Amino acid sequence: MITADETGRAATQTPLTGRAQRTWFQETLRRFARNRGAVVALVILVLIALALILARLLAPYSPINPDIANVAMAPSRAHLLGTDAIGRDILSRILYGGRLTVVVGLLAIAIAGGVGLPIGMIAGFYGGFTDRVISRLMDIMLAFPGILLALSVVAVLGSSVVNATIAVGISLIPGFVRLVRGSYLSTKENVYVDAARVIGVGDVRIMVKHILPNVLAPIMVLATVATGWAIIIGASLSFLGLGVQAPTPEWGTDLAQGRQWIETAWWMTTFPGLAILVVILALNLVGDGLRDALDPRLRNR
Amino acid sequence: MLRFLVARLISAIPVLVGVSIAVFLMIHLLPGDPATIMLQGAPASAQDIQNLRHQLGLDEPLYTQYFRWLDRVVHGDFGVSIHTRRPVLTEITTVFPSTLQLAMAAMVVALGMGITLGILAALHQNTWIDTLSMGIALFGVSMPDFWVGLLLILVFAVYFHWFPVAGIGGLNYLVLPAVALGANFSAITARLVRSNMLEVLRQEYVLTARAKGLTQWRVVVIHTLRNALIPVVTIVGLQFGNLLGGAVVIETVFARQGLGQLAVTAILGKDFPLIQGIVLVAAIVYVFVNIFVDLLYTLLDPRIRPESLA
Amino acid sequence: MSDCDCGGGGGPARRELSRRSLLRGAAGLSIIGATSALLAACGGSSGGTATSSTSSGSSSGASTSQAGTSASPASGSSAQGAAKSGGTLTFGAWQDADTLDPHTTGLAATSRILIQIYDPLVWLNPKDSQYYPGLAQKWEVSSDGTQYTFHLRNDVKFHNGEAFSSASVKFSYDRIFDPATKSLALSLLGPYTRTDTPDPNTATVVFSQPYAPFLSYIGVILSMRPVSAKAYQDLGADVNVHPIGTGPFMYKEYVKADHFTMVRNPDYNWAPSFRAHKGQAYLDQVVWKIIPEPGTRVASLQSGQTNAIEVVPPQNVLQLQQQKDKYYIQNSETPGQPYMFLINTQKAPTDELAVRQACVMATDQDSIVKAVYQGVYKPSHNLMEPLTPCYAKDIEQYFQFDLKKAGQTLDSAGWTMGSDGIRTKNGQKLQIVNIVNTANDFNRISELMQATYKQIGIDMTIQNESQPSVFSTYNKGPQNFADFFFWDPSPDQLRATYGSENIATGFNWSHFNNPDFDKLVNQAATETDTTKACDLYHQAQVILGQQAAAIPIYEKDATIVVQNKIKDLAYDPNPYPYFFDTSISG
Repeated sequence: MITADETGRAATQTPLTGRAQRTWFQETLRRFARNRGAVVALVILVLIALALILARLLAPYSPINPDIANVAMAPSRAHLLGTDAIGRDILSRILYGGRLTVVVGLLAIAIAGGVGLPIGMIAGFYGGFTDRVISRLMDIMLAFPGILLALSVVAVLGSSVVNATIAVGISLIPGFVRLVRGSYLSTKENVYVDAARVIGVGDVRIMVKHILPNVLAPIMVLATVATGWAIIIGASLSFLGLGVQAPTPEWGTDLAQGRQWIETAWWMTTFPGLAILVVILALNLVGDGLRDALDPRLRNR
Repeated sequence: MLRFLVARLISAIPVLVGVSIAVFLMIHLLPGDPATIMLQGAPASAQDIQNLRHQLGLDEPLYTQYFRWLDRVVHGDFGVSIHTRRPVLTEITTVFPSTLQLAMAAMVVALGMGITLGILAALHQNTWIDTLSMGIALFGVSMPDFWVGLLLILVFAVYFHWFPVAGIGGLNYLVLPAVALGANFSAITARLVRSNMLEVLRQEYVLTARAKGLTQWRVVVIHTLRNALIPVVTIVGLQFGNLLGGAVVIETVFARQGLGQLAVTAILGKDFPLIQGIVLVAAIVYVFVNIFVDLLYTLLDPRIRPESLA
Repeated sequence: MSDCDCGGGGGPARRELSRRSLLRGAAGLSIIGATSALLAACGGSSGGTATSSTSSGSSSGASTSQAGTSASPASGSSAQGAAKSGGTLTFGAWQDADTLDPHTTGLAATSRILIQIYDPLVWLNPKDSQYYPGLAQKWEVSSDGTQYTFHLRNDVKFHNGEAFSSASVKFSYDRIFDPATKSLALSLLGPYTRTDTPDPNTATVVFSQPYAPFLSYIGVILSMRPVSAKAYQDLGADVNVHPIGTGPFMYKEYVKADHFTMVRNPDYNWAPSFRAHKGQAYLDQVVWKIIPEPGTRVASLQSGQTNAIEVVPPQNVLQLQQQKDKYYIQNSETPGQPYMFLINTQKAPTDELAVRQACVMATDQDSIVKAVYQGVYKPSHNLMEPLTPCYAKDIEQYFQFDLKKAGQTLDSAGWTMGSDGIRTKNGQKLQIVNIVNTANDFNRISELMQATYKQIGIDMTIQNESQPSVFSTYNKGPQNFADFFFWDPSPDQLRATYGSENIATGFNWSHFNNPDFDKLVNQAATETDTTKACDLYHQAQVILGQQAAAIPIYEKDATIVVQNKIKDLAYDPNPYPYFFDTSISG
């Protein structure tokens, strides 16, 4: 996992312009490609994404129709990953269930980023009083532990995927704000920003067109890693009985529901758990690779 | 130092006020009558709702209600749990020590494991030790903590009988839940320590010290570790909030009494006065832990003048 | 009615009796006439006599299954003369107490603890359904049925040293009767007027009109057991966490959400004659360890941290019963209503009879229970369980699986299949909401039903809500299905579950409002001729069956798994473990 501290470092880059950008991009790509772990992780993520998209073709059974003649069957040729407590094929549930898990993770990040990015920009770019107010607001949000916040939202608004996603997204906002703010603080003094200002470019344009591309890298890194957090918080909500509604397959829910069988039917928890683990592991490795590839100091060495 | 403390405490006031407003508004932002919402989980009669409405002063302007509520909270009156009918503050203070104990133990585990792994990895950069340490750390962040907890129970309690499964008690009751809760944070720590160590190890003065022929061990301890650990301290405060949150799940898995378990009960039972109280207490604790961490930070790093933090 | 557990749950899950709801359900009790005489005959109990039994036949089946091959620790076998004194038993319980004041508690989880601490005036023996002397050596009822006179033992002391006397009885009932106490047992006192104490060893409880069920409540309900007046003066608000009674075990320590520790009462010498031994309890200490997470509770037994656990998931029952060298399993069949879904008769679309009938016919109990509980529990097709008085097997005809007929019923009622596989009628989709009590294990059952319902075009949504708030929700009625069970040795439970006066605050989560039904059950409650009463109850059940007010799923059992070295862990009249005769061997 990467903390804001670490990712913040990648923020200080040289300005990008036409041709230089391409070479910078190529350079980054080259460096990323050298990181074997990250490349393998990326390939795994792509394969998983493909599998989830093609679930309809790949899944051998319906993910929701129970089969009471085959309850809690160990992995076999008929059911490669076994069956769950009401006889559903676990492989099929994982293939379909990943869609929701991943979508919830991505949407939560979209919410956190969508809200956090502009707020962080404004705080970092303008500084001063605005910054202080925003920073205090973020301190207030940080004071509410993520899961507790998510739990409260779901308890109050009712348990649904949408509410859970919003709740998880909200709890991740301060992280984005802090990171973006830090990046903007350190970038806005750069020569090219001054130059843009001198020729009369407006604030919004400077923030979006001139600074944003330069601070996108750490944000991408954080987004990669935070998707993993979102998936884990979602799984925890499922564990506490506030996850998706039956019979919708979802990794966290399946892992949580299988826990009563952890000893008597290990496959019910092991496979959904592994699915979560592999995706988050891969996300982190890709995040690492991105960070290393984008870190200018490493580049200079 | 005192001046710093005072300044830091003052800076916490707006945060605390904000937290209290957020907690107060929890009920009021919802569509519907707050009294009805607060009692929705209980078999409340129309009279009960009317009484609560009167007690909350719902016919008055919102800010009056807020100050009235704040006044009660400041005087330790957090209301009464709608299910147990006991004061919310009593419910919270009864279980809070065991959560604090768990969070501290998890912190110790996380820092102990994390720093060890981080140092090992940095000193053996790009060797199998590095790969293994960082691999362990990656697993730590990639597994839902309730799953870690269940697996720990299965292995260390059921098969090996090394630790008790559930509850609170002596130190041996703390080990498994602390590991499960601290796993995530220890992974973060390990990675942070490793990258900081590498950075410090590259710096001139370390290279000089090494050149002078000191043993590597002393280099590590005297020159590197201290500087590498300072950034770790900064995230301890932030992570404390996550530990409190993680306790929600871990206390359920290990059947430990505590704030997390109380929160789950309150939330699932729609016990709104209790939910408000728990969220408020958790937030306040978080704020003060962070003040404490900031103090510690200035003590550890003489380069930072207290004023610059405040 | 007596102790109930509603909302409790499934296999692994809870057989929880929420005493609170139970008592709310009991609100209308004063109507009941001579119930107690009636029940014995109804139930076909082997040993009960008409004068003394509420729960005929009840719990005659505390039985040990799968006992170890050697040294079978048969329950109910008297203490073999070799029971050893001493030792600590740790019991893994699934739920914490709400309060430890027996007068205000709302949970069966609390009763499970406190029945060890408090003694009743009169015991109801689970084996023969007879009343036995407890704190009262003798008792008589006035000929008009309004006065109960108890002749008390004079050698009983409370755990705090206070002597037990008629003043204690008066204090206890007066306190329940005081509205300020907000006792959930208030309705059980019915037409209570006062308690007279002519001398320290005589207490006469006076009612304004005949009140027959009183003795049965004394025999079964925790709240009716005398408390120490001195304790309430000394402890103040701490009575909520520090119970003081006269029972074989005494309070030692309570840590909320963790454990309740009780120690042997060295003065105890007033066990009822049907217990296996006299004098003190064998165990030094019982630790009631609260472990709500089922997997953790099972792990605690396997790791040796606990000696016995309750509410065991079926897959673990199957696993643990293989290990006969280590554990035995105690089952206790109970009277009452099976685990079932109550169908809301007032909320669309289940306000329509055809829809309810289709739901009933589309439910395949036999396959569901076989799949989910793997033979550990039995499917039920009836509104009451076999041990319940006035149980009628022919009621099963209303609860049979027939998917084809279910579809036809919907067809002829005008519900036409839409292109999305969901039926519609007048633009309304056939969608039903099943609100599942998270304390139960109804999720898997619900999911299996959901799949079958979908085949005939019913779209069922499953929502989760936890107790106790789910009980209020059920009363408000946003659900079409509410999950439910009830432990009760009296057929009067039908009124508690379907009587129209119990819709707003009781157990009538079917929101069933049928004047004919109400008339039948009210009449039955005052009918002294048991045959006639059972006939009335039968007519009432026929109405329920025809109206498709519920879907029975399976027969509940109280199941605990016990280490072989623990001997004689018996069930009390309530299906709760009772530790007086329990000992540890080896």
